[in-house]
Amino acid sequence: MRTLEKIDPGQLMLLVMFTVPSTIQLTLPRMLAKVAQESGWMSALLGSVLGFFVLALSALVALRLPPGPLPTALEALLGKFWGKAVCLFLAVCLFSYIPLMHRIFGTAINVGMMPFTPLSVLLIIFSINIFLLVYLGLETIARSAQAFFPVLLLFFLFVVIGALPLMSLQRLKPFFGNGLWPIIQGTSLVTPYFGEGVIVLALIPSLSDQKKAWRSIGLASFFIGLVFTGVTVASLAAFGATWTASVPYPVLRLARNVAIGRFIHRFEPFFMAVWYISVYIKTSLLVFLTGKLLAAVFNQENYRLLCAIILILAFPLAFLPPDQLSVFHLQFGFAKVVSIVVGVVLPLVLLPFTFKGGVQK
Amino acid sequence: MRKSLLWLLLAVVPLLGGCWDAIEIENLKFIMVMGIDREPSGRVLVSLHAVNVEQLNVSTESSSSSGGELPYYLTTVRGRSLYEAFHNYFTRKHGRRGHFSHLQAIILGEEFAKDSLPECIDWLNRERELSVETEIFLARGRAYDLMKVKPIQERVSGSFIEGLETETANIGFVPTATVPILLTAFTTPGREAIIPFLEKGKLDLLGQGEKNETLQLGGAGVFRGSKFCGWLTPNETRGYLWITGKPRDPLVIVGMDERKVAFDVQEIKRKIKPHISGNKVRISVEMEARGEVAEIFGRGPHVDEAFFKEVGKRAADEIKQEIKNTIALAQRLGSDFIGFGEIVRGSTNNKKWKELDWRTQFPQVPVEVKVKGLVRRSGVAVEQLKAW
Repeated sequence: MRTLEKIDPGQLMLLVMFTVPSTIQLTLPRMLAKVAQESGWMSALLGSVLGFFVLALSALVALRLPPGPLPTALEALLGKFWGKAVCLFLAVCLFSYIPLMHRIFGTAINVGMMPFTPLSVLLIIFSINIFLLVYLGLETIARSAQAFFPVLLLFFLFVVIGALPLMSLQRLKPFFGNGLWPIIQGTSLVTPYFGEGVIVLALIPSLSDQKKAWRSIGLASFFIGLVFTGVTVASLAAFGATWTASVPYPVLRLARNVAIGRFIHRFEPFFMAVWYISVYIKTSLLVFLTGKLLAAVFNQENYRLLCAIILILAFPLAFLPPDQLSVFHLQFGFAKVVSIVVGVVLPLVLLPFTFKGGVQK
Repeated sequence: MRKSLLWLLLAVVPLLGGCWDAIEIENLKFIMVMGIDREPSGRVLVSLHAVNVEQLNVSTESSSSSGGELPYYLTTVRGRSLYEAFHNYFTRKHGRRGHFSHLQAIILGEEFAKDSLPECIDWLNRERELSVETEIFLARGRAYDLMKVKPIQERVSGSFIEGLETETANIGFVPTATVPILLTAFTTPGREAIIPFLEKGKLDLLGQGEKNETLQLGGAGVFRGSKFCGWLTPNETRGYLWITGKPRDPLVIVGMDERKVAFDVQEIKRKIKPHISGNKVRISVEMEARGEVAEIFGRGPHVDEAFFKEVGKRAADEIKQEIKNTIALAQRLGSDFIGFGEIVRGSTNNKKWKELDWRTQFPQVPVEVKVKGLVRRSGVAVEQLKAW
């Protein structure tokens, strides 16, 4: 990470948009329906608004860091030892998502579409795809995000608009049925994941026009909020809270129930494709950033080899959760804690140093 | 590095076929209609109309000349659970896997529906292959007995039942109960499930014996929680649909002295308002039916604006009576299949909802019904033609 590849503000927005929602997107309506019942969508909305501030914290730190790639900037800010230590810590945190993302991907494909395909085969294919993208570097990851985005948007709109006839606003009532507390509890299932936006620490230094960073972060938060709130409203309005809470992936079920007339049915492959693209780009970015940070810590030139090692290590780790419910626990327990540590605690620790050192342009 | 990557990618190609989940079409046995009954021993009897692919492409004429073999056959399997019945026993009997993606109708036998709806709901919620368009029906009696009937109107039984439901629902005599509709009704607080029922009917074909037998929709069956609790006649079902559903083309026959006027309802607007004071609930239903005159049967005086106004008024009275009868029946059965409870719950909070104890209170809730009828169009003719 000693040399910088350049990305533009639009690409930054897309990379953040792909990174934050994909950990919990498919399962979120279920968890919110369990906690806040019909008001789950309010938790998604409020959580996303608060999430903007979490994301903004990382962006603020990134914009106040000394110039240059993240490891260089951290070493300039904190000294060589602590700079490397923070890099290593960040790399370990980012790495911890990688096996989880592998397993989330494999489980969703197994449960949603391919029950008989072995998980190991799915993960091998997934890993090889990721390695290919990571091998080509950050610019290619960013360009892939740009290339896939119109398809993703089209499929997403297709599913949401197709689900409109299934929805009834009556099922979202009573508003505030159990008071405010469950809604606030529900936000804890949304806001922490914006901490995954800590990737901006490494991405903003690569930004071609840093003045537009806030615009990108703002727009990304807006779209992430739209996705979280949209899928939750759609699931709750179509199925009601009880049914939504009973299925592992309400969004996939929603896509399955979309039908145009009696001749186009079952949109879940469309939605699965959308979700796959976002998981694919997110995991690739995480592997890339982890590889780059580790390469900087251990003074290695070849980050690609490290990325291959990361993927090989992630493969067996992805099999650690014994079943699907354990995966959910990791998604909404372990991943949440890591997101808070890396996305809130770490930037809060770094922030005073950036002020102490002054802004270096 | 590039070369080794290329080799790696080539090595992966054989894995990309997705063979594990591939199912060859010739290994599948498509099921079109499924009947579920409970046997006295407690086992589940599953009757299936399995597609006979060889007969599917035979034209109707050659089929009747060759003895009239149908493109499906009836088969039964038994098991301790639904899934065991068709997964284990069906495959053992037929050598092929039963496939449900083309399933058009599921018929629940009366005995099964009485206490086993939750078991059925669980299967409906878990089954991957089911289409969202699959219709659910109740059977008056055993589902198996209805599955034995071979309606002559169509060669494919599933298409016949599906078409029967669609058209009968359009004229407003049966509700639609697809898998998502049933699962939502089952799980939404303040709403009970309502499912159309199938029964045997006669076609009145003179001297054709067995061919006379057909299937018809006789109204709906309703539930209280997961227990079946009663039948609705077509008119009582229509009373329910006036308040909740969207019948596309319902017809009301209005008596105007000596004449009968067919009022074709084309647009329905409705408003249901709960009024809660303390723990007592009162409900008001306001409805407006707009439509056109489809037929004036019988002779009478000049057709003018006052005549249309009177037709609208009398049609409104007719609709109001149907709605009131249905509400009275719902309260007598203690089953809020109309979904008033859902609206009441939506206008309050969950604590209050628990205090209201809706299932206990519903039979005594006063419901005020107001209906307005409006003839918007005369149809393609205004006056009745008279001989000179």
